[in-house]
Amino acid sequence: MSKTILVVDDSDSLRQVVNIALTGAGYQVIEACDGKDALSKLTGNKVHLIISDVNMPNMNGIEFVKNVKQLPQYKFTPVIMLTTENQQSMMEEGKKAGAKAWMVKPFKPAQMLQAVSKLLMM
Amino acid sequence: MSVDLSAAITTFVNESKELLAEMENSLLDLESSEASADQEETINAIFRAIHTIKGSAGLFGFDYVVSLTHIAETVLDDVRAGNKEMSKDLLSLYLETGDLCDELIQLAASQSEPSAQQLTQLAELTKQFSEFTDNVDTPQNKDADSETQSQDGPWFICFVPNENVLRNGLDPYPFIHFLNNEVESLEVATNCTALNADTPYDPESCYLAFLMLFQTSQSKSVIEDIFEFIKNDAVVEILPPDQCHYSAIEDCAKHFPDPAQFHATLAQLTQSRLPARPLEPASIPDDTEPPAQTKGKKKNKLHTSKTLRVEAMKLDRLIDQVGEMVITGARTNLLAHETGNETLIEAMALLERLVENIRDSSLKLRMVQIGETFNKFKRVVRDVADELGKEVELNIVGADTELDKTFVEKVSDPLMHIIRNAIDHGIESPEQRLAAGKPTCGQLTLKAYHDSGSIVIEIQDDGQGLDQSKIMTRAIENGLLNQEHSLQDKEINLLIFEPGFSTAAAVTSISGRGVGMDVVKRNVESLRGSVEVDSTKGLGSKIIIRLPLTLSIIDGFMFTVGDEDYVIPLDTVVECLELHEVVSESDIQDKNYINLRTEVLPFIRLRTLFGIEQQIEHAKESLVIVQFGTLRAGLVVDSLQGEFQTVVKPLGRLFEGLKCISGATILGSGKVAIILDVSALIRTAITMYESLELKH
Amino acid sequence: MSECFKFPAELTIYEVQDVHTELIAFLAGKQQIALDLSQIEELDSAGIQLAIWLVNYCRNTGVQIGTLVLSDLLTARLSLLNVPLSGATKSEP
Repeated sequence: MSKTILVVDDSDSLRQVVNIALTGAGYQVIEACDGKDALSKLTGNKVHLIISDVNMPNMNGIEFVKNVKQLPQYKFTPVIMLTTENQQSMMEEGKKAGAKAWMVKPFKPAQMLQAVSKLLMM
Repeated sequence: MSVDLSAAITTFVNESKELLAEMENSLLDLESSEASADQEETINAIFRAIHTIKGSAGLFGFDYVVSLTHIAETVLDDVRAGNKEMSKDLLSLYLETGDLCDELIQLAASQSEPSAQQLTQLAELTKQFSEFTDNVDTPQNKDADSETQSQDGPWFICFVPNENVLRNGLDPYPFIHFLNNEVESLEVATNCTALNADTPYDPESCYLAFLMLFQTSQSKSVIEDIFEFIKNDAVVEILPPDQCHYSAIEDCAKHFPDPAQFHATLAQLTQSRLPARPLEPASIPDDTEPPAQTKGKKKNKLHTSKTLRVEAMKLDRLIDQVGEMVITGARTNLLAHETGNETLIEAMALLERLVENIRDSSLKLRMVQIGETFNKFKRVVRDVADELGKEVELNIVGADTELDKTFVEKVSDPLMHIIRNAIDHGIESPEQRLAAGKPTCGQLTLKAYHDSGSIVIEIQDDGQGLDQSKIMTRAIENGLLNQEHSLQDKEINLLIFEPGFSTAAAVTSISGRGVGMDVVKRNVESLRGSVEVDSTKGLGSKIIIRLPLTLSIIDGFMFTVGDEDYVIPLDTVVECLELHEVVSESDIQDKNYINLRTEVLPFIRLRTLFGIEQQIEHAKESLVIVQFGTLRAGLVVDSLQGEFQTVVKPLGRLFEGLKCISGATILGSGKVAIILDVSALIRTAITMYESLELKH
Repeated sequence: MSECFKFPAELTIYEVQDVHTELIAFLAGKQQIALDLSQIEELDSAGIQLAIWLVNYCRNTGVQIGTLVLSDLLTARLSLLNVPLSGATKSEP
């Protein structure tokens, strides 16, 4: 029974790479291009882990995480935030919002897989 | 693990192209707009573009791109925070960065190395950016650990998650599991005595604590990294062998919820692996978090993008299938009519209407806004004007006018050339303009709109206009004209489209040797369009390009000439008349025009044009008046067949040279009908008329 | 005859509150019970902890666990953490 991961980022190519890497490792992947899109995809599916960029139009990552943590079925779901080196201060806000893990862009797909395996058992 | 990223790389290349184009537009907007409210959002947009490219480039290990975008992003962050102004110099740096970034991405995607020149440019840009910012941080480097790796002996970890760790969405187990895969001989002792407590059990609190022993040749920072995400919600004491002393271990007891239970748990581990007492006290490592830096507040403006990415090939296939559907529909309609079955005929009529709707909707999918193409020219105008020392302002009107995507690429080059021409030869230098009483800044307007089944693109400048005497002189020089020829202004202007024509005294590198305009004309005509020129000396010129809205499925009008059926676009048909009602047989003899009401209408008898020797009765002929742009002509045909949904099928290359033919279509009966190029026919009619008139 | 409490297939932080409540109700007034954890296929630390708590609780309140069957997954995880659940038997394949 494989776990499902939601990848939220407005960059098509980043989502594609993360998708390929995660699917290759045996996870199911759902993609969303921003916070609003992600929230709608969360309601229809069961998601075990969320990877979200901080910088997105329509609803930024922090807002999105706050919203996610309001949903009862996602209260405890681990969230990995994607940020850039210059914005590590965002992480404080992210943690307060409920995201406990982060990856700094640019990262290699293998790093993402490692992070996921520390937060989610297959 | 290796992952096949080639598909993702293609996506990235396309995505970056779009982002870089947006970035360029934003930069040019910044240059022209003064309002500071707009500025903020525009700068954010530029930031997002660079940020996204950097992040994605990093995924693929495109290091040069990462390095360039990194420094660009850092400086831009300063601008966003309000610490720096986006000056014209800085703006130019970003424009240059965009160009170089595009090149580097292309190279990286094709696994090629940048040239020495590009690397120099990269270094130069980096240096210039650095001068704009104080906090230049070096790009991320996972440095090799400076710690020595020869660590024999056991490692010890005291891992005590906080009571709230589970509520916070973290799970200790996967960390231990991960550690197990990274090191050797992992032993875990779990303390769950807290679960015995008298206080009521809260399933969402964490009562577990762990002590671990293992062997590894990895460095301490690597092991620390494993617990990075949970270290704020837990105590993670890592003692590498050289710090793994008895007292250090004893000291960990303080972290346990019940320190008394510490030894009981410790006892579960293999005792021989633990150090014996006593040894010097070891220092306990201190985890400090990096200081948080406050940057400027981020404001994210809402912008909705309701577009969908579709592969061009899929769209083409859809149009093809719709075309087949139209043809089959026509055939079925014919058969239905043959049966005479009223209900069936009615049903077919309904079906035809639905097919038309689908046809229209599908064709609309191929339409893109011309604004995208126009925006490209902003940069061109800026650069060309700069290079020539002229001031030019570009105005764009009707950017949301839509045209078929196949035209977008093909029309871009002709437009580019016309624009370059306009700036080079049309718009005068600031001094000349002042002398002429014009403002120093020249106006160049790109305008697009729809007009009866065509899309019209106008390029207008307020420059010096075409000098007709110069053109005539050059034409005579080139042997295009005789001295005696007197031409109307309109015709003189059209001469600039003749090959090898250029009145420019100095041939610049910008607009070349005057080979451009005739190529422009040919390109436009190959798209079944037309180009006209309107000009007033001293005031400016206007070039008007007309293109059909689509090439694939059109509303057609069919008529018969001889034994064959022919089709022309319905939009070009102005009027249909019985020939004998308009003109008598004698009046039309040997003439190429008809006096229609107040108008002189050149015409072509298609029978003659197609070389059909047999004549038919004058009384039976019909006249179809067609129009393309501002030009009109009449087509004399045998009989009219009416409206007809036409799927345009291209003719083979064999037929490419044929002037008046633009394609073919398959009728419901299965026969093939030729589609005529109305624009070419009209021009032929006019040419014949004029040559005949000149004889008189 | 001892009544059997069958654990659901998912025992994570999302389920533990409810299962805990059910367990308390189930255990009330019982002296001997059977526990079936063989269906557990999704499990996190909160679930592992609940299982450990249950066994401890029974021991402390004098409830006898007649049969205790664990899923392979639960067994494996308890094994890594070195937590023996006394009286546990592996689930039949």
